[in-house]
Amino acid sequence: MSAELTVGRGTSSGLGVIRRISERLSSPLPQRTRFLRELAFDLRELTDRLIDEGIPPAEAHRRATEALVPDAVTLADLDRMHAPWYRRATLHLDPGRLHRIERSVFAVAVIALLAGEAAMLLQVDLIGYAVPYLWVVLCIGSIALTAIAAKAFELWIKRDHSRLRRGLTSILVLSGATIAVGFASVLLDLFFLMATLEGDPSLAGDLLPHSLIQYCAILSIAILFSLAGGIGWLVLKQWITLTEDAHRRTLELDSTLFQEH
Amino acid sequence: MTGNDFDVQGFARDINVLLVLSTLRDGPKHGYQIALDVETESNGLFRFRHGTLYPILHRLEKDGLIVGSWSREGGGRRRKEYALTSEGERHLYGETDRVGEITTRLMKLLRGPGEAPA
Repeated sequence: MSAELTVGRGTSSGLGVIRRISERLSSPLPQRTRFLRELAFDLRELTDRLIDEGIPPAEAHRRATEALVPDAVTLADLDRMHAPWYRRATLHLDPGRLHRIERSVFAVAVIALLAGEAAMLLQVDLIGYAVPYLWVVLCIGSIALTAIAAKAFELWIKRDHSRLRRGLTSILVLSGATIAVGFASVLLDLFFLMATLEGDPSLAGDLLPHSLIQYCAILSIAILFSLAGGIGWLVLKQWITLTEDAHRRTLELDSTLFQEH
Repeated sequence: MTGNDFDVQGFARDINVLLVLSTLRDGPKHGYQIALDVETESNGLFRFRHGTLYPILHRLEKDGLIVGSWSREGGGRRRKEYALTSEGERHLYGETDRVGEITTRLMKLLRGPGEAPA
């Protein structure tokens, strides 16, 4: 049973009009938020205007709701109108098939990124200084960057805002893991190097320069990946937080439309 | 214009568009004001119900016939206002002539040849 509520300067029954419409719309979140804000203002103003004209508050609310609150057909119209171009272009594809195609594209992207990184290492003649752990760092870093690209694709191209925070923690963990693996591998290798030099100090001249270049290579690559991952995570998180906050503030307009006795 | 060109459902949609555009001739308005003015100025003959006004407004905005702008009212709440663009004005006048022609032909058909208009 709904509580009796005050609408603007009138009274009416009915909770959560804005929330109900929000749940039934599948448009991308920013468009949805803007529409709900517009609807909330218009509902309140039209109700107040009708009350000013001498119409009883309950009737004013009923008329305003009837005029402005979208029914299922209108909501579908709005969703169609605000559907992102990617959704319109892939409408004819089976959702399962589309999902598989997207996953394959990102898998190919990881492999291509790894291949590109290997080619770059060859170009700067770093392959000779590559320790096995460097490939682990490159792998984790590539997965982190691809995860960022995938999340950006989901948010800004596909505009699927049904699960905004999905995958964010994984991106942060992968970015952190890159630098963690980098440092751990350097420390481990340093330990073995020092143990070797302790046994035979004369090897220092041969081993130290080569090892130092290896450590610099792996650390700088790990730091770069970690930085890129961290910045990517931050940009995504900021956008998600701002979008969610704007939407939450809009849903709170329900409480300004309807004031409890 | 031949009979083959005339789309009845499209005509109904066009009427809705023209109703919205015509109310904006007087100046920028909020969505609720557009709905109210259409009903008032047509003496209740035309009424927007179930939020059907919004897809029309958003479509017109996308097509560049009207432009929406946000402003802040007291309390920090934001509200949206729509204004007619010059392209919208051209569209309004052009389509008004077309609707006039259609209704003239329709009345001629309904009244029959040689019948004096009421």
